[in-house]
Amino acid sequence: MRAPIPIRAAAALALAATEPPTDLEPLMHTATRQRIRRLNRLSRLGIIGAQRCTAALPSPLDPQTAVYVGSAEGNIADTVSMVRDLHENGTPPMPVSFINVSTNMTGFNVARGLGLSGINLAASRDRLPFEAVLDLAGLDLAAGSASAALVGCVDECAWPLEEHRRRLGLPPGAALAEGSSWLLLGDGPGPALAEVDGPYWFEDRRGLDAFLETDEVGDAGFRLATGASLAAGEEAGIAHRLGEPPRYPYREGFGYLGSITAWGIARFIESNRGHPAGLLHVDRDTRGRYAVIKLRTLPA
Amino acid sequence: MTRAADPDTAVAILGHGLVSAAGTGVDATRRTLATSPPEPEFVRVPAIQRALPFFRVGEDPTPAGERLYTQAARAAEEALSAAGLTAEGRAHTPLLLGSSSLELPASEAHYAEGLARGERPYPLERSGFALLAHDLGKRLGIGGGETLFNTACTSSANALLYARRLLLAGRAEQVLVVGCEGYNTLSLAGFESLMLLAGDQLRPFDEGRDGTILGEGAGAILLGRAPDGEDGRHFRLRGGAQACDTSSPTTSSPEAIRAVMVAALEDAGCGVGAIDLIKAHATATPSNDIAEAEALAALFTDGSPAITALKGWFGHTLGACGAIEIPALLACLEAGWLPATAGLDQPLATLPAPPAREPGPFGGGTVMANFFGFGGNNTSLVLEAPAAGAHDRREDSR
Repeated sequence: MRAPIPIRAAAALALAATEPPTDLEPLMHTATRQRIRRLNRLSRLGIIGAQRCTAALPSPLDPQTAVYVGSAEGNIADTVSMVRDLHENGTPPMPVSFINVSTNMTGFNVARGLGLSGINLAASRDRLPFEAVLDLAGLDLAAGSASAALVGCVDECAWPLEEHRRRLGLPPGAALAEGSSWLLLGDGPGPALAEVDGPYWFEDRRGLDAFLETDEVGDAGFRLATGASLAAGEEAGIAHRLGEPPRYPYREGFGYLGSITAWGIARFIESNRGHPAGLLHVDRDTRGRYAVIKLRTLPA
Repeated sequence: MTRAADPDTAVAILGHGLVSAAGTGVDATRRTLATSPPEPEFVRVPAIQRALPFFRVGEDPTPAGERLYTQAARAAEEALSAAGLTAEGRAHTPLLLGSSSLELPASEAHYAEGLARGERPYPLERSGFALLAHDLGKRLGIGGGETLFNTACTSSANALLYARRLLLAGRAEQVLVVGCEGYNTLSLAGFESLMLLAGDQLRPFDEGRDGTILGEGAGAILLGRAPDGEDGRHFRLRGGAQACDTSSPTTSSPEAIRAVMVAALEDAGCGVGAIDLIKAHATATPSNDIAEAEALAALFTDGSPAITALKGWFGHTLGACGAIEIPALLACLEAGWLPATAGLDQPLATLPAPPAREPGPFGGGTVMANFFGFGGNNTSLVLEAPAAGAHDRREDSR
């Protein structure tokens, strides 16, 4: 087992996708107290989430705090819009729009808003974007390349939503969501609210099952949560193997959000703040490789 | 799987592969770099009614929507084959993929073809930020998971940095890094709208440079522990650093570039004086070359190492440039010579030393490789090159 990483702050944000899109300006103003122009939707979502995460800290972040942005879809709205303009209307991209189309501009804008100049990555894995960036942050913290890490997942929709549903392979009218959920890990201002351990990766179900039977997993007082990619019936099988722990059904009532795990983890910390509680989160990619995250909130 | 590894032996370059305008395969690329650079093609972009220069991979009959995948797979297969990695080994090897435009070249081609047929397609019919990494891993039989890095022009350099982290953490025996960038109209039109494209020639660090030229291609590097008895005969990724300069989304400051080079040296455990060669980023855009030149001059105050810049051979391959330029450089260094800076005539006076204009001898040593990207993303890597001839001895021993 690796050493658990302290979590200093967490913020979960998810918005139901509507026609027309939710105006982000009020949320931006609340989060930053500024009117920031020329930012795309993905960057706005990123800034809102990261600012909410760090707003209650007792002192500013270390400028070398690393930033990791995960995403299931990346900068989809601008890319769709620019490709359409270019090929259907013969309109080349505007310079500012083209610069902002790179998903790592979200991390740049988050870092700029918080005065950070350390490591800055945009990364992902199939079905497991949050696990991907959590893993990279853990590698840097363990190696001493960073002492604090702001880890988040940001996802937007592309309008029109009906076209976007087809793109995502969802049925007509399926509910969709956007999100920006963040954790501050490692050293930093304020007490630790929780500790995270993982992700642990398994190349197949056999590896996962062997892990689930270890003593470290089976300790008392955790709830089980599963990601959206588990096959039907897999959650029941995992729960049975673990002795039917209580569930944390964080995905219920949500529309599709590719990085919903980040929301579920951050929300668990928010709702159990100051109260010891454990969470075991299991998800998999489309090729049947599993990822497990262990989380424990700490007493006040 | 979680035992920490020995940094002196764990991060050797076991194999590399290349597909670019300079050739398909490491040997072909080396031969090109020993002679003269390819000429860019002029590609007509209907949306802006202009033809723009672009470095294409030579004769490739693959349909536009498939080129990206075949180039990436070809480079990866060359690296895996050079290292002798078995199917069993692949099943436990992670893939770290760096790319800027991801699978956009394929989806854009599909979209354009649909429009041409009078259908009603929509852009990006398949969605997924990590889709390209996932698809490529599946094609290659990679089983250790696929992670995408999307940090503009530092994407695959950052993938190399994290491959090293994984190996040092004892999380994998080998890690495959692939960088790929395909031709797409959006990138070309976007760079044109930023007025960053050259008229007809990419001239890194040249007083008369007028911009960059984009290129397509793929590169792959398999990193892992050198086989017993081969320590010191492989190139080694000794360290590196990455940081974000938020002063501008498009241009890094000399101070930020110097800082990331210093951090890379610290991570590699060596001083400024240990560097024998710099592989500069040098896009040939006016402001970025000035910033890098000033940063190099500020760091190497007590004599400059040799400098070379390679984008004149491949074009600027954006997120793939780390995985293309490093194997190309190593291909030449392992043969005992340093590749020239194609396109350079009058070097910037602010550089600490004029970059190599002709191929020259290289007898092994420590190499710094710089990569900078949009979003203030700066990465510097430090590699250790074995003494000249060491590579031949390894080949002889097999």
